[in-house]
Amino acid sequence: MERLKRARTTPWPVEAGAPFVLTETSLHGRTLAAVNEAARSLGLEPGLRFTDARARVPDLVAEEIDREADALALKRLSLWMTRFSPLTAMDGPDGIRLDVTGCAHLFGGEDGFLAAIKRALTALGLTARLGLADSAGAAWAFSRYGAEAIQRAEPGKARDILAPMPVAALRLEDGTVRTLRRFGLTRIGQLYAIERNALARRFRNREAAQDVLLRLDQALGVRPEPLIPLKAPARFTARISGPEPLLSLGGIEDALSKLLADLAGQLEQAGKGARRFILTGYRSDGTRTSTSLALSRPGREASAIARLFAPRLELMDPGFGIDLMTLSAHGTGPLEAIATTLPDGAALPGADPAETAALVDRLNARLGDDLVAIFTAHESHLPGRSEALAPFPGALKPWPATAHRTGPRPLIVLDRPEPVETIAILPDGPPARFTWRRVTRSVARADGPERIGPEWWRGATDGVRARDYYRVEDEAGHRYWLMREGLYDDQRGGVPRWYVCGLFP
Amino acid sequence: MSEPSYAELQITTNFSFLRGASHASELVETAKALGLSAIGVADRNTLAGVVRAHIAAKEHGLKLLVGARLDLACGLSLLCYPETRAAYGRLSALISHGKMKAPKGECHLTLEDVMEAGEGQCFIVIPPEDLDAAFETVLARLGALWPGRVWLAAAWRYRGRDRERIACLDALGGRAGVPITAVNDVLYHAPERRPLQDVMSCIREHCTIEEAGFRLEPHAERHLKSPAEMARLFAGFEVAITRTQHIAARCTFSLDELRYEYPDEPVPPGSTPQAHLEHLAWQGADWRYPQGVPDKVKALLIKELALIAELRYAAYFLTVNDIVAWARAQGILCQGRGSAANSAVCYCLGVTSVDPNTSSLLFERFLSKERREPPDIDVDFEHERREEVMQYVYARYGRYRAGLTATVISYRPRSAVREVCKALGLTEDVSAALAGTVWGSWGKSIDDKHIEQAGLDPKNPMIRRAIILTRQLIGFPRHLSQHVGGFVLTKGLLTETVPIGNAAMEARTFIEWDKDDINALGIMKVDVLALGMLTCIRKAFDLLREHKGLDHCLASILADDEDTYDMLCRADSLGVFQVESRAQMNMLPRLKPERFYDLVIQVAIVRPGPIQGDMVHPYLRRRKGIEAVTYPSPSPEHGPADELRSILHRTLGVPLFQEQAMQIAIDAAKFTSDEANGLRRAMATFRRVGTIRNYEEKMVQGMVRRGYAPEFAARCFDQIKGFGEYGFPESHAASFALLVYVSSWIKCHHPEVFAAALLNAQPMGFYAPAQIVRDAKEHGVEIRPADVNHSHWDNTLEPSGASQWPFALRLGLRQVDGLKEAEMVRLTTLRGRGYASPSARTAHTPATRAMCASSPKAGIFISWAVSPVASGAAPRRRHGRSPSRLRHRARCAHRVSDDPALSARRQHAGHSPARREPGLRHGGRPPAYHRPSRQTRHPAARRPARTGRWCHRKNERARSCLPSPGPHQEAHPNSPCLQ
Repeated sequence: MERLKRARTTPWPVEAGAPFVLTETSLHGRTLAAVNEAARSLGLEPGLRFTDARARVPDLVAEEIDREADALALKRLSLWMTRFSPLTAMDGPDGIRLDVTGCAHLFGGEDGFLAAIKRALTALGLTARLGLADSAGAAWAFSRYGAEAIQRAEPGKARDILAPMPVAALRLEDGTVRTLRRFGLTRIGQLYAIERNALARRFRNREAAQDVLLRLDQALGVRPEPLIPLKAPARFTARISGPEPLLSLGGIEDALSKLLADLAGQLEQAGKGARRFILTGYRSDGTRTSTSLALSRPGREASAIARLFAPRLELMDPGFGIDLMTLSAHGTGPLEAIATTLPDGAALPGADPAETAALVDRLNARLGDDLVAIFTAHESHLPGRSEALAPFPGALKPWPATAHRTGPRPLIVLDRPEPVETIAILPDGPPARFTWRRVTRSVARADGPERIGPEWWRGATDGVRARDYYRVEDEAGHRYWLMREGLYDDQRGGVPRWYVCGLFP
Repeated sequence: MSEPSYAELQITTNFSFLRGASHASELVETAKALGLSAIGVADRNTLAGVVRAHIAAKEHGLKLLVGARLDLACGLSLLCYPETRAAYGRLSALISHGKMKAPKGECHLTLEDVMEAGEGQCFIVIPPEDLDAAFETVLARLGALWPGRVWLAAAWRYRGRDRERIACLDALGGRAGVPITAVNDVLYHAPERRPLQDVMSCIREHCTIEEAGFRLEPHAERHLKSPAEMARLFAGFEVAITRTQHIAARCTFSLDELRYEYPDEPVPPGSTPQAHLEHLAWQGADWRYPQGVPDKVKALLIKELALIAELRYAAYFLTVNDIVAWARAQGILCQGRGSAANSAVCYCLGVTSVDPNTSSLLFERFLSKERREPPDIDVDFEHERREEVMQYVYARYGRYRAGLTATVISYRPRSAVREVCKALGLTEDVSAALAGTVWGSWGKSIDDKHIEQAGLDPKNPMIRRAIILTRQLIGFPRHLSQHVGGFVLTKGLLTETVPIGNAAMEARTFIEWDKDDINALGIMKVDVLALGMLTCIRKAFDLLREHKGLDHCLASILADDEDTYDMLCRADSLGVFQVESRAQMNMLPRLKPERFYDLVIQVAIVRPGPIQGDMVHPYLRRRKGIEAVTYPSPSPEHGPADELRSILHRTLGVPLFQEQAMQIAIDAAKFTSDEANGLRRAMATFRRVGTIRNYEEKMVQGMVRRGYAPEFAARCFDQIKGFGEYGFPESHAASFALLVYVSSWIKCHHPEVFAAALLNAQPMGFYAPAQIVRDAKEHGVEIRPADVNHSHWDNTLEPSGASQWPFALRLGLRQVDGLKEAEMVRLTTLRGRGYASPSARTAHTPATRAMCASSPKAGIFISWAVSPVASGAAPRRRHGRSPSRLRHRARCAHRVSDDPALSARRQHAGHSPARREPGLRHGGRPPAYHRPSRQTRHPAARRPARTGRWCHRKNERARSCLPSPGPHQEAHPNSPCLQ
């Protein structure tokens, strides 16, 4: 167990031995969040109001605490700590918990293990308090409330060491601790003597009572407290080590196909597929190389995955030879069955979704992840903004019906509206005649306008004038989608211009 | 071609919350300017906004159709415009019906409901998006039901295919016998309001403007349009335009027709309200003055009754009297105040207790003929029992005849900024920063400097937009809420005057109009308010009767008691009504009240009005005789030099009361009665609307022109502004002063009774129980701690041994945190002569966990602490019994006694006298309770320090050793009760 006291990211603002505190803004105003030894010796404690602290120590230097940076630093440290044990987790805002089962002997027993951790952390410039015990709860108590900076309990001895410690060492909430104190229960040892039910009854609410019992049990190791490691080892992994280092692409391909077969078997047994595969080669000189592959939907079909991996294998540099290869599956989930036919056997219209997905995977593998995008509907009255590009979501989704929400829209929309010359009735009548691509057309029938105001919140980027859209039919029976940008009396620029925006076939 | 006539009949104001984006007045002004012949205001399932529209329309001389848009449960929407008063009543009752069966703010109506109320209404059906067969069926049904009174709304929507759709509607209407009429579905008065309407849609839909998509209107066309423009859009359907004229001509109803009548319940059969009131008043006069009615009062009564008869307000007085009489019969203490309350009539009726014979108040002005405004009587009741009174009013007049007034909750700068920023997708940081800048700057524009100070770029278009939109949104109504206690009562069904809906509180209903609306329509209301001090005084009277055999009521306390005034002059007023605040305590020794009228001034002077108007110091100087009493006067050619003397002589020439400021406006600035009324209204809504500035110039200039010093004029007006929301007229001050006097008298002569009553009336007032108890102790009252064997739920009086006062105060169990009244009442009723031991108690009353957690720390088991039973006998008993039935009892016994740690604790400092004596703690712990061992503990085991607790030990030991903190020390906010 290790305790991170402070994340120091800035140059130290005070001389050694001068009081220094970190503050935070809480419900009660600005309060102290952390204090150094010098400040502690002057009677400053975390939780005190900053104004009170300053009243007592007028030249107090303070900085705002940065909880996020602290948390990040703690996470980094936790990851770094995996060198001592693979099962490492952050514990609250200021602690790191290690499951050291089977690790200590590597460092010469538990004492040596703790000393090694201490040494390593001191080298990083961190002050640490360590505790080691049978249970996580006891170790927590040791590290925070232990008499020594390093406190260790022989197996089975934690109970005795815990007894004289204050009840706060049980990781209880403040209110619960207060209630216990009120009953005169200040030491953990006092709780041993009291019958469990009697203890529970003392509390106003059931949760607090259960909490005390739970924490007590966890400290004594009666109830388990699972550790959720920061970085879970991949559940599905296949490994292969050849008799001699692989040097050629062909060898890697062979190894991959064996790994894939193994992994696919594992996945099949679990009834799952994976969205991400990582292939790692461990070179004989101790370095490693890896490449990964992402699918748009969970899959496990070995041949397909091998095909997708193929262009990437060239990126794997065998160096002096790869003597161990692993393939791990991540982002596992159930395989989605894709219906390609209706219940009565008729084929679904449109592209086969499975094929679409496979195509997208192939394109992604070639071009780079998430480069394949598709059009999706975007709610906007402006025709030009009614669709948007989005990464392929794994399957095609139906287009939402917008029939009622907009006026009629043509099937053919011109990439860029083409300006036309018109003669139209003021102020918002349809044109009587217009010239498009040097041909003058007389309008026989017209409908409109459909007026669409600018999206004012987007600023001037899309223009500030309202647009009127018209459907017109010329004497030859062709139908056009005309637009006039601006109204004649809107006083937002000159004379409005007319455009052809699309064609109704 | 002549100019076409058009009436816009589908207008939504901002009382269709978060839909309409214009105030009614803006719509009316624009409609008038555009030359519309009439407008119809129809908000969604409500008539809440029609009064405002009515007032605006009257002002601009525009015909207004009052109506509502009925959104039915089946999805059909129709506009309903009543043709006559009777039809309006049916519409109002219909909406009431829909609201009363729905939770607050909603209205559930069905087509059947509408059909029942359809007589005399003009309906305009709003077609749905899909003109399907089902709609045609409904339309045909409506057309057949009310032939000639149903139309189909056709709007030019600018969505493409408009002409096609209108033609379609025309054909559909033709088949169903429902002709089309032109509307424009107006949401705002001018196209510039489109952004605000979009933002309101976002607020309504809880989304940002980027996400809103099709929930927004595509364009800015839903504004008021001129008749020519409408005629152009409906070319080919001209008849649809002319039909609007037919509808407008048919609907002749105006809100002015609402005739308002007071309930006649209080009047016995065969009598008129006036005769009955006179009878009651003279009867009351004999009761008030058993030695014979003084001539002054007689004259006053005759004069007032004549005025009441002239203004026909007798029924109003009788209604108030009816409520007050009922409350008195229930033993609920109450007192009236307000402009009409301090009349001799009210004194004789028992509504107020300020004796007109002994006080020197001017009563002529209690009602003025010129002001032509309804009288105003607010009645305060004990705060714990006001709900009974309200339920009585509902029960006596019925839910359909009585309703609370509404309060319109409007957007204020902070809420407006937050909502607008959220809708625009700006982050919390930005909205918080902007909200910080606008705080307190009502109605003013936020200038760039402020925005820069907040760390934002004023040139950023998004910020600019947010500010503009916020400015527009401020003052928009957000929702309706119930007024604190203003009841509107009617003779007929109130639901036929104004819709009534459910409030969020159970068993409360309120009308849709607020007090300004009902004022404008001349409807009278009775305010049923709650006052904590009345509870306290009633409890004190009860204790006096019970323990000392003294029978008192508000009016019977001996006036001008010197001891009482001496006490007040010492600022010894903790717990006393009104004058207990710091500012008041500070003022008391300076003002040195000697008689009742001084208290009236004392109450009124520490208010924002006189302070802002800088009237306090001149008054104090004149009172001390440092400054001569003079009256500001106009130039001789404009009037007599002493024209303000009659107004100001009671307050030594310094205006202190609201009425005085108003009277100065009338007499010195020559305001007409209409202007004065306008000023008074502006005053009441000063902070909300900000129209008061128009009057400032008028009043100051009017006074200066007549020769007053400009500085005096400006000060008078500043005072009027200060009255804004906290106006304190003389009549209110007089009623309050009586409560000040009565509570002071009790405190002075019966401090133990006062303390007990005040504690039992908690929560109320300024001070925490701890301070009240300490104050009582300082006055020599013996305080006995809460005890399981002696205390009741309430604080009680016990005969005292040696103390200065005949009774000692026994703290009640209500002072202990966490105990429940029902359990404790059970405990005290079952205890008989006391519980000998914990087990004896638990045998009677199974206690809860809460009790066990709270009780030890409060030390209420002190009776047992000396008993050997508690520490030894009880636990053993437990082992002898096992049946589950007894388990619970045993557990309880066990809980408080058999735990060694606990008993040890009890022997420790916990229940030592030093711990118990202060009983109610202040925050700092008594030093005797600090355990020295704490200092020696391991540093890692120290608990976090807390302000005001032991961490202050080193520095502040000296202070915490004082027997009691001085008055400068505030109660710790977290420990109002025993800990």
